[in-house]
Amino acid sequence: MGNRNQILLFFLFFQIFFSAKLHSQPNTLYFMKGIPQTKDLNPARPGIDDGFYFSMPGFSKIDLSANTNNWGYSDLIHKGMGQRADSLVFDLNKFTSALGETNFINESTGFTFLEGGFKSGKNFFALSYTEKEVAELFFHKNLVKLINYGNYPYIGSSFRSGSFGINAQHYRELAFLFSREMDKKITLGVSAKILFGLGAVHTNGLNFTVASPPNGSYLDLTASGKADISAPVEFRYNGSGAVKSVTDDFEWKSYLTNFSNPGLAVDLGISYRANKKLELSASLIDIGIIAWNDNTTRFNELGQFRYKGIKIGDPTVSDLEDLVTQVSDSLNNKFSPAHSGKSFSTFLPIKLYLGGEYSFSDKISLAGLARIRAFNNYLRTSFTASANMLIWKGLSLSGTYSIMESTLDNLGAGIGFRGGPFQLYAASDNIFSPFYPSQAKNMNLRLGINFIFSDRQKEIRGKTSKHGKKDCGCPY
Amino acid sequence: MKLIRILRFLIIAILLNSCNLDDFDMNKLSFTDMRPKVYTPLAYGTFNVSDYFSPIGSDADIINVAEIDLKAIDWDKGTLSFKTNALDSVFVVATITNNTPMKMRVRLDFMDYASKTIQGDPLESGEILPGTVLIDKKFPLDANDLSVIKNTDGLRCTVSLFPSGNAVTVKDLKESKFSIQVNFQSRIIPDKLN
Repeated sequence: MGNRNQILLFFLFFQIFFSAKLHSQPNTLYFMKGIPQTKDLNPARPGIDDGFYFSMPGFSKIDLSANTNNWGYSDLIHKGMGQRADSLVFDLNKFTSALGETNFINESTGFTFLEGGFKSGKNFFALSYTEKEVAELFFHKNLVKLINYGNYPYIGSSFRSGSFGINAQHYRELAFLFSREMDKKITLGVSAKILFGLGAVHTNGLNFTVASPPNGSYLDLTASGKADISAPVEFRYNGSGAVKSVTDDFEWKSYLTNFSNPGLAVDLGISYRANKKLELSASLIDIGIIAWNDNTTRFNELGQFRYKGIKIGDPTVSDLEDLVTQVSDSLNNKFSPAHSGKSFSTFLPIKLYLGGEYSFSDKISLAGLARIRAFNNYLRTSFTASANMLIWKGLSLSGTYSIMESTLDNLGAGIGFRGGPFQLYAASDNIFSPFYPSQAKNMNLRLGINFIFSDRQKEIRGKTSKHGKKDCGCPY
Repeated sequence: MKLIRILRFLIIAILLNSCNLDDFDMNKLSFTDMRPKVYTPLAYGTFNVSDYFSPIGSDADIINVAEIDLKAIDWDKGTLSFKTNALDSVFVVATITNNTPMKMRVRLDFMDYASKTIQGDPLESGEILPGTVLIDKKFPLDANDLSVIKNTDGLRCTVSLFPSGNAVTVKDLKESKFSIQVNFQSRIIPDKLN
């Protein structure tokens, strides 16, 4: 088996494993050499200097990511010790100690079906069609404490759940990118995106409190919050307005051909070459909004209920079933959120990238990248340091270390292999996560296949590179 | 060739690890470390003594007996038919307000209303002085109590009144009230809920 075939085999295994378990655009990708998709992180940094490319139709690239704020599956569920060595222990004590005050688990998936672009002179054009999905579940530590310790510790005081909920959206993206080298130092890029929302759940301010007097003679339950939903489901309500049932109205064809939820987004990027060795760059990705008009339901809750137990001698309660019915009816009446079918809008999770790359030569560079992600009213920051190099003609490698949203153990890698016009590339900010999936706190992967057609005449003419040196002869 | 060997090693290592699904086998999941402690009101009531007291004589008469047993207050709602094996460190917690002019004792019995029999040991409040509140009197229930409770479907509350040393008329007593709040405290054993 030739070297190239063995590398191809590696990529296929890599793809199968990661596509089954993992996931978003790794920071590692930002400084990889010769990969056109670096434009996805900064439209002013297209990865090709000349020629044109298109990605594998039907499977252009895939982005997968999942991360938490420094807690993992094994903090919640892990193997037992001693007599329980054969069991998995649901360990809320360990989970609680691993949590911050506010917590999240975020996952996103992007699948590009079609993509292509070309560089003509100082201008670069590209377009792509991608299906994207992003979801985030967030909760306060207090909620876990309530489940773990029960309500007893809060008798005589108030338990506050803190804000919890889920924000998720699935949308289709058509992106048109244009970048231009304004002069020898500055390149500007912009990507205009037309979006079509397919489904969304957006909660805002969901929380509840349970208060009681010192003798616990009653429990006061107060709940408030909003939830907006756009999905092919039908809610049915009882007389008091409480949700009685939810009917699944899903049909693939109508779901995927839904163009009733339009949106717009834009990516902006700039690259500044301070000198022959140092490049500074910045980008804002996914400044966008989607208007949800189809199959929308908006809930608004503000309810209060006092539970005192059974009133002894109450003639309306003849048995336990009556009591359960009575409490259930009371809860339904007190917590019947106002609902409407009005439109709503959601923002995309916006990202800011700030990068600096120092090139020792055309083949070796060191770089640093900061990413700030805004989602669900929180800012999440990550920092990545990378070493990028060309090992031999056709093989590009990047090694990275990242501090990602409170997680410190992120050693990443990127690899790009090219044989003729065919290019396979993969990048992940944490290459060890697959070995210890139960302990992973940050997983991501970008994988793609391109066909790149460079202007060979320039190579033959020995065109000088951006760095002012004779072109390295590499395929990028 | 070294690179290829490294790649081979990585592929094999990833595949071996990804095949190890022991950490995700939910059939082996145990909740033994989880013991949430719940506390909830069970029942409450404020009672007029006149509804449970049948005096002999006129309202102006001074009560001159060693003990008055009020009519039993029955709570036969089947609310005690819970899964007792999923409970641990169980307490019935009572708060009793004695607004009568006499000393009071309250006794709680678990009842099987089908056979009209009292089951298990009674829960006794002890003496409560007039105009005072017995706060959070905790009655621990052991495994034996819980097995008894499993076969009962209600609670009987028996109130006894005693002279406090002051002269009390029938009218004074009839116009007075007392209240009882019964709460429930327990640790839950999630493994045994199903």
